[in-house]
Order: sequence, then C-alpha cells, then structure tokens
Amino acid sequence: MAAAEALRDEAARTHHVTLALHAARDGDPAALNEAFRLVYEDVSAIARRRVARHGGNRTLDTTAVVHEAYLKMARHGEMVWQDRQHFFAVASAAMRQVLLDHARRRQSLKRGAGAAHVPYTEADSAVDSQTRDIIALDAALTRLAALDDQLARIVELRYFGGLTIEETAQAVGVSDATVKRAWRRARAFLHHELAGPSLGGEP
Amino acid sequence: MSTDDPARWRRLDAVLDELLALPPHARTGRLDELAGNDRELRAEVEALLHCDETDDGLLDHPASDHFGALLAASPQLDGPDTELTGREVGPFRILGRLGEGGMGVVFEARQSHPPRTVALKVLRAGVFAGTQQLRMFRREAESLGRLNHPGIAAIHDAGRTGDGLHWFAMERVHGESLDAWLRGRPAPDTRAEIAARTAVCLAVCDAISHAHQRGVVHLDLKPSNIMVLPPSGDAAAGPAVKVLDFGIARITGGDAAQTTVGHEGRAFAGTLAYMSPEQAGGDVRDLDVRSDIYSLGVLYYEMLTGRLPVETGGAALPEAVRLIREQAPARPADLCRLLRGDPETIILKALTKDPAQRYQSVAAFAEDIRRSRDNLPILGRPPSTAYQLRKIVVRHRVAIAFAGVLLAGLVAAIGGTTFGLVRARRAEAAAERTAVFLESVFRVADPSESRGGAVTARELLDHAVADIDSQLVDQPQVRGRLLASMGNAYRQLGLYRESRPLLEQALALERATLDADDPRIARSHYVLAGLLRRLRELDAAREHYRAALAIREKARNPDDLAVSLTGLANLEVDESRFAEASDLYRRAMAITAESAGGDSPRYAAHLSGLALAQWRLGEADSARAMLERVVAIQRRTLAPDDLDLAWSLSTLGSFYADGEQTARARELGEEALAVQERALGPDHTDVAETLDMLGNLNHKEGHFERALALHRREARIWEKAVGTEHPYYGMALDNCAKDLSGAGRWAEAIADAVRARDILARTLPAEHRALTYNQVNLAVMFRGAGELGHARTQLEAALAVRSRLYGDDSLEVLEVVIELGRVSALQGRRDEARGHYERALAIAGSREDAAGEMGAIRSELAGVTAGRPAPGS
Repeated sequence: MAAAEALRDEAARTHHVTLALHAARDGDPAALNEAFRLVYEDVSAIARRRVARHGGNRTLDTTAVVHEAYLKMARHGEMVWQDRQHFFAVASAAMRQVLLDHARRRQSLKRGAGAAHVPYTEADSAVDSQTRDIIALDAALTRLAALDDQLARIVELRYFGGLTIEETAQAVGVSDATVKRAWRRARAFLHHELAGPSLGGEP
Repeated sequence: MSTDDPARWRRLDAVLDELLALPPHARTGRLDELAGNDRELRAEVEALLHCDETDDGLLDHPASDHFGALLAASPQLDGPDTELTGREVGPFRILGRLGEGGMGVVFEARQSHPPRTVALKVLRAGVFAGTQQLRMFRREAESLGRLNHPGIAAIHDAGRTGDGLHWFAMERVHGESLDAWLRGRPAPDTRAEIAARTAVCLAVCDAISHAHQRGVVHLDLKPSNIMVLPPSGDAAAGPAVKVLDFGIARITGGDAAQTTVGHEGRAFAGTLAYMSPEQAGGDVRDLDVRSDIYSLGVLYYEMLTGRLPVETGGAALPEAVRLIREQAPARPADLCRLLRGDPETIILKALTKDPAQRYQSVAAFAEDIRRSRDNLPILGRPPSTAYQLRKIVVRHRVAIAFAGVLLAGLVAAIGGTTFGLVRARRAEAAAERTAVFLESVFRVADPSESRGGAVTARELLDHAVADIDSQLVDQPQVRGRLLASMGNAYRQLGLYRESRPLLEQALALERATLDADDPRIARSHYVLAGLLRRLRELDAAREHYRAALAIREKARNPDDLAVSLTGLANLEVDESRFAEASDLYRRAMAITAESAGGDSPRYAAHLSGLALAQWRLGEADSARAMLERVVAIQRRTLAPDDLDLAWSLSTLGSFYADGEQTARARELGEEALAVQERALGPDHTDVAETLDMLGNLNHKEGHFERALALHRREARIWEKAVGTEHPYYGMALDNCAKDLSGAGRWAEAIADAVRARDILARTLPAEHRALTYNQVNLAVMFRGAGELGHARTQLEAALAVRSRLYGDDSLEVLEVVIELGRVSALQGRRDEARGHYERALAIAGSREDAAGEMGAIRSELAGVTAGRPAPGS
C-alpha cells in the first residue's frame, strides 16, 4: 500500500503544482512562487536521484530531469496544453536554480567551518570549475534578462530545460525560426559576458 | 556589454539579428550602414559577432553535459539508505529507514544515554536545503516543541551535523497508520464498530485540540499522518493515537481563538481530498483552526462510511478543486443508516463549505460527538436550509439575551457596593474591569473577527468562564455575580452539569463576601435549587429552596417570597404530594394577591400550579375552572404570542379531552398551536407536541383524515429536528399509521407502522413500552387487513414485554389479551379465544379502573361461544 499512498501523495502534489500554474497564468505572483518552489523540489529530487542511481558516472542529463518532472505531473492526466508550456518554463528556471544553489552551498561549505577536513581530489577540481561556471553563467543570464526577458527565457528553456527548438518555440509562443535566431544572439551575448571584459567591445 | 539600457540593447540586438542572417562576407558593409557614426555600437556588435563564431564549450552543450559532477558532490538522502545507516547523527546512531514525509526522511535511531530508540527526521535535501525548506523543517521542530500531549509524538532533540545535515529526534511510535488500521477493521455497519471508530476519532480530536490551544494548526491531517497504537491493557483508557507530520503546520502568535496562518502559508500543500475548500482553493489568508476541523470531518466521514465526502478521482484539477469547494458530500445516512440523525448532523456541520458555519473549535466538534454517543442532544445546529434561516435569528437572540444577563449581573454587582466613598471607588474599578471583560467576551462574537460570526453560545460561555477565573480573582463579588450569570446561561442551554459547579461556586463566593441576609444569596439558593430539581436531586433542591425562603421571609419582599414557595410546591408535585403542593401554591397566591392583585400574571402563574395539583388529586372540575381563570387573566395581560399562554391553553385542552369534551379541547389546542406558531415558527418541536395532541383528539373524534394531516406535519417537524432515525419520528409515524387504519387504508397503515416499528426497534431499548404500543397498533392493522398470523406474532411479543414491565394484571396486559382473543376467534381457534377472554375478565374484575370493560368483554366472549363473527372481521 505504500506505493498507492505515494501515488496519492504525488497526485495531490501534482494538483497543487497545476493549481499554482493556473493561478500564476492569471497573474498571481505568489502562485508563481509557489509553483516554482514545488517544481524546484521535484527537479532537485529527481536530479539527485539520477546522480545517485548512476553512481560513478557523473553525468547529469538535465533534459531527462525536466522531462521526468513533467512525466510525473502528466501521469495524473490533468495538464492542459497551456499548463504544459508553463510547466516547462518553470521547470527550466527551477533546474537553473538547483544548479546555482548547489554551487553556492558548495562555495560556502568550502569557506565554512570544517572545510579543512575535506580532502581535495581530482573530482573536486572539476566540481570547483563547474561551480565557477554556473555562478558566472547565472550572473550573465540575469543581466540578459534585465535587457531582454524573452531571450533569457529562451536560454533557460533550451539550456537548462534541455528543450528542443520546437518545444521552446511552443513554450514561448513564437516561431521556430525566431527561437533559432534568438538563441544565437543570446549565446553570443552570454559568451561575450563569460569571456570577461577584456574581450569586450570597448575601443 | 557595456550597456544596461534595454532601449539601447534593443537597437544593438536588432542590428545583430539582421547581420547574423547575412553571410559573413556581407556583414561588414551592412554594419557600416546600420551603425553609422555610433562607434560604440559598432564595436559591441563586432564583439558579439566574434563570439558567435567562437566555439564555446559551455553553451553549445546542454547544462546536462556540464554540471553532473556538481550535483553528484552532495550527500544523498534519496539514494541508498545504507549511506546513512550506521552513521552518528548528533547523539544518535542510525539503525535504518522508517519512511519519509513531505520534506524529510525518517530513520530509526538509537541513543545510548539515556538509552532510547527514537524516530530521527533528517531534512531530505541534506546540505543543499533551500531556505524555504529549512524554514519549514525548523518550524515543524518548533511546532512539536510547543506541544506536550500523549496524542502527539514528543520531540526530544534537534540539531545539525558537522557536514550540514539538519535533524530532529522524536518519540518512536509503534503502531499502524490509520489507513492500515481501518483496513484491518470490520465494516462500520454495526453500532459496536462505529463506537470503536468514533473512539479513535475522539482521540485524534483531543490531540488536535491541544495543538490548537498551543497555537499550532496542523493543515495536513490525513490517515497516513495518524498512527493508531496497539491497545493497552487498560480497556477503560480507550484507544491511543499519535498525530504525526506537523511538516506544514502553522504556528501563530496568541491564543487559539486568534490562530490563523500567515500570508506566506503553503497554499498548495496537504493532500487535496482532506483539504478544506479554502485550503484547496489556495485562500491562504483564510486558513485557521477551522481548516483542521474540516479535515477532521473528512477523516470521520471516511472512518464511518468508508468513502470520501467528495470524490475527485479522475476529475481534472480545476474540476477537482471546484468539486471540493462546491459539491455537497453524499449524506452519511444514505451510506449507513446508523448514521441518521445526530451523527450525520455533526459530520456535515464539520464539512460545511463556509468555515463560519462549521464548528468553531475541535472541542465543540468532539463534544457533540460525545453527546451523540451518549444520546444527549447535540449543540451544533444542523446546516439544513430551515436552520440556516432560523440561525440568524437564534444567534442574535442568544447573543442579546446573554448580553442582557451579563449586564444585569454587572448592574447588580455594582449596585450592591455603592455605599460610602471608598466602596463607590471600588465599585468603579469593578465596573471598569467588568466592562473590559464584557468586551473581551463579545469580541469573540464579532463577525469581523477571524473566527466569523457563528460562535455558538456554548463557545461563548466556555470562553467567558475561563476569563472570569483568570481576570477577576481579586473581585470576589463581581466574580460571584458573573459566575452566577454564566451558570444561569448554561442552564438555559440545557447544560445542567456544566451549570452546577458555577452556581455552587457563585453561592460560596457570595456567602463569603456578603451579609448573611443579602438578597443575592437568596437568589443564588433559588436558582441552584431549580437546577438541582432538574437534576432530580430533590432533597438538595429542597434545602436550597428553604434557605432562599428563610432569607426572603426576613426581607419581606412578597414577590420573591411567593416564587420561593412555588419552587417548594413544584418539588412536592414531583414527589406526588399534591395536597402539600396545593397548600404551598395557595400561600403563594395569597401573598401575590395582596402585593400584585388577583388579576396579575404572577397570580395566574401560581394558580396554574394549583390547578395542576388539583387535577392530579382528582378534582377535575375545579382544576378546569381554575385553569379557565388563568387563561382569562393571561389573555388580558400577556402578549398574544406568549408561550405561557400557549402552555395554559394546551393544558386546558388536555383537561377537556380527558373529560370527553373533545370539541372544546380541540378549540383550545388549535389556539395554542396558533400562539406557538407565531412565537416559535412552524417548525419548532413544541409545535410538534401540540400537533400530536390535536391529531390524537381528531382521531378520538373519528376525524381520521384530519388527524392524519396533523400527524404528518408532526412527523415532518421531528424529521427536520432530530432526523428519521429517532424514536420521536418513529412515534409520529406510528400516529399516522393509526389514523390510516382508522380510515380503513390498511395497506398504507401497515407500511407506515412497519417503518415505525423498525425505527423504534433500532432507536429504543429492546423492552421499551413505546415499542409495545406500536406492536399492538400493528396487530390491529394486520387483523383489519386479514393477516391474522402477523397480528398474533405482534401481540405475543407485546404481551411478553408488557407482562414484565407492568405486571400480569395490568391494564396494558389486559388490552393485549382482549386483542389476542379477537384474533384467535377470527382464526377459528375458539377454545383459545375463550381462554383469552376469560383471562381478560379475571384481570378486569381485579381492578376498579377496568370494571367498565367487563360488559364489553363478556359480550365478545358470548359471541365466541355462540360462534358469532368477532368484531373487526
């Protein structure tokens, strides 16, 4: 019965997410926060579960994570088309936040008490570099959002959500061609930001 | 980019967009045209074009390719449990996994000092808990820390490990979850099983009520969050439960009355099926204890019917939420008829969509469950339309009456202390404190407060009594007066047991602080005596009446004196000493005649007491004359809708009915009915009682159809007031059956009588006399319909019970024996019939009051002997 119980809890949780997505679509900012928080928990749990399951193989397929989160929702068969679009947007943003939070805590853990007892390994070196990358990328993306929110959302969907061009276009409500072009401009912008000011366009 | 100006970015972006669409060799020329003199723009676009052409390594592969190591580098709680098993967390060593809640994984863990096994909850996200998650996790620990109740798992310790795991340790509960427990039980279709399940529900209510008092609202009550413990050796202790998972509980400041949740409440948490409509709808601001009360209602509904009140399975989410918010639950009685009446009323009241119409506290909900179990009238009003309409009136009436009682108490208390300057000052202080206190009482009833307007009078009183005890400690006089007022108010609600200690306390306070002859002491004696009479403690009641009388005789206040005398007189009536009672009524009348006059309502009240006593002494004519005079006085001096007048009219009617003056009786009954309908509305149970009497009168006069209409109305009122699963309804139905049989409508009569029999059999003790009435009626109907075998069965059952209840020579047995004679005769069993008639003759011959029957019995016996057809054939 534990499985049935879990399923019921999951169904209830899905209700809440969809409910929040509905309210968010109607312009309720608190509901969007709520949806984000719930999806965040899902995405975070799925991500960690996947990493744990694959053990030594340290590759996380974020696309699979977001899709699993989606399937978990869809299993209860109550998402309408608009919900689906909205869900991907929220889930992609959540994926970005999951990575960022991991990175930030990783940093604070290294700075905090007990850091000296943590042995430094080769794997840690990769983790450190990824920690720096995600924090820089997040900052660049935040700047892009301030300039052009739609470009930033397309990046979130494509990059963190792992959505295809077609899926992204549906989620944003534009044509495939627009997404392709937008992605290219956004990529250029982010690349430019990540490369640092020395490569900037100042004469 | 050097820019953070969106307008400039749009320009730059437009240029970039256009250039990217061109082949690389065409871009420079076009950039010249587009940028013109804007060198800065040109430089930025060129930088971006350069970036476009560079292979990036980060952005060209999805995030999944990049950050696996980062995620993999955190401790895993969702992974294999072996990682944590055996680990030390705080002072505990983890033994194994028990389960998981919304945000935490629960392990079994062992502590060596003190040696104990605990349930250790560890935050699921481990080191990487979000601030929100962490806040909620800590809040759960804090919630539990505030609670100290056997029905709630106690928290022992909380902390954080060196590597960042948050944990807290709780009491380890051995038991099964409520759903598992329910699956192991027999179906809830017997009284015993319903009682067992009710006991578990009450235990849960007890725990939640404690949480509410400590300002904690659970908000996630569902069967998986409740553990039922194995039965202890002590059967009297009842079932033990533990409520778990305060994971989304809310802590609120202040007392339980103001327990609501903050705006940042977790709107969508909890499990939909058990959520209150306001919680499912996401009205976080509206969530308070009443949301838990709804969830308890769902639990109780499910426990007793095996179903959820609102089934949302298969519905799309918006539809499911709409159902929860709008769809009325299936009536519990339609699923299990043992739930008819009060149990259904209680469950549906807890499940009312509007929180203001629910029980306002778990204590009130549990109290009604207990009252229903103990066959006491419940205090919650059923949410039917008729009650909805009347509720508004009643609520205001209770509040206003109660305000009146309190203010009268205040005035009396202050009035008694205004002698001399010092006492006047003290009185002012008392007035001030009392006024503050009164305000605090009525704040609860203020609809603008969070609890809404529908605070029951009961809750108001409980609240007030608690305040009196805490706030007026140094004001014994005011406190005594107010306690007396409260005791009185409880008494008016029929809560005699609750009333008694308050009245006794009030009297003790007054005797300690007032002069021995103070009229207030007399008043308290008098009120307490009336209560004790209700509780059938007649000797104690008499003591208090006499004490009141002694003080009042000295004070020479004629009205009070007369009232005390009638109190004593009523006691004598209770003990069937009608002559003594009559003397006391006459003394009261003499006093009142002098002070208020022989035409005053008070005089009429004493006179009606005397009339009843005389009636019981067999002085029918003088009793009728006295009551006629009472009615004449009351018609002159009372309002046309006064209930005292209605009482006099219907009593006088019954006097005449007994004297065979049925037409006059009917006139009086109809007038009484009109008065009651004006004063109480058409659906009041007093109206039902008068309808019963009027119907019987019409039946007696042979107006069967008219009697039937009256009895049908009576039945409808009882159905609304107490439900169909109640002896009052059964008896009204039985009346209808009698009328139908009188009218010769045998088939309908038998149908109603059988229904009545089933109801009475379920709702009355096995050997109740009302059952035998029904059986004899049914027998007569079966005889009329020619179903003699059925008639005999009924009679034999009635005979056995009546012989035990009344004795073999009683009038009740006589009635059955005669009827048995008739049935036997019709069945052609002439010897048997003769035996019955001879026994009937023997009984009638042994009793003075049955001598009149002898002739009729002899003539029927002669008929049998001569082989004539029996009556009714």
